[in-house]
Amino acid sequence: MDAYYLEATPKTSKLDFNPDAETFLISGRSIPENSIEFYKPLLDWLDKYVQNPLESTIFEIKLEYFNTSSSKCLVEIFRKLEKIKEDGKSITIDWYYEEEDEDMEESGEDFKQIIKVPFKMVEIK
Amino acid sequence: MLDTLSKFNNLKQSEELVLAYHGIITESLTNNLLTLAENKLAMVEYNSRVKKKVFNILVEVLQNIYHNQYELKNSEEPFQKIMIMVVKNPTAYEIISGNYINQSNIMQLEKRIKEINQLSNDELRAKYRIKLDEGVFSETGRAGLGIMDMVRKSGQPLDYGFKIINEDYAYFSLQVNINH
Repeated sequence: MDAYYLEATPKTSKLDFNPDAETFLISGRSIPENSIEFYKPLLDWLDKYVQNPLESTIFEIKLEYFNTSSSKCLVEIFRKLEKIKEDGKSITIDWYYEEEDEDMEESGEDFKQIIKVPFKMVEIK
Repeated sequence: MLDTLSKFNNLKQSEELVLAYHGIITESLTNNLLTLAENKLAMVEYNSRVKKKVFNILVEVLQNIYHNQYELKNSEEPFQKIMIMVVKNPTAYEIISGNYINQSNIMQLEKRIKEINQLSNDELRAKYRIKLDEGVFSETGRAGLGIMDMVRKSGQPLDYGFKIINEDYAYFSLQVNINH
């Protein structure tokens, strides 16, 4: 399956989804005015990926900050991954946050609470 | 009652004013303002946690206004003008905004702010999660989480005010305080 890659901009995150390299990453900042427009192509790509995923997928989120409309897109993204687990394959979301960044830690906990995919909080020292 | 314009008149000579903008708002102006704010914050705030928090809340305040102004895009120019200020006083950052809204929106907006202002931290968190869990967008791509996010990240209730301008419009003033 083709990879999905987008370079980061001052307002949008880097999206690096490459099954061949076993890389699944969202990083940087995510503050576009219209988040759904930005994330729609990735959501479409994930629809295809979950049909035939790797045996094990580790999805890393390393965001500096994001706006509330991006948080709704993240929920949509995580929801798509629930299918991987239902089909008996392994999926983990690693949520990175900097030590003392309580806002980012709390956000991770919010997602962890509502998403039915193993969700790991990773503190960066 | 908060009044952004008179607040600006009191502050404009003050050293405490980090940033002020008065004018129309577009997507590229929003971007430019955020870049400017980020650069100014980098000069006045060394605590990266506080800097990040202020910037993050400013994004939410500005984008909230940007989406609200969509409703007013066909109105006369004076009503499309917004006001945004970032103030650093000895104890806190203040993000103060002012923008015109349709008078018909006052009741709903006031009800929403009042309701969120009086929630405890735990209640707010629970309400936020329920809204996040809904996961669906309004047609304009808004999340309905902005006001909750401002209260949650700042840890303080919002200060606000409405001023009736004429039979159609009102001026909405909003202030978020972030202790540093």
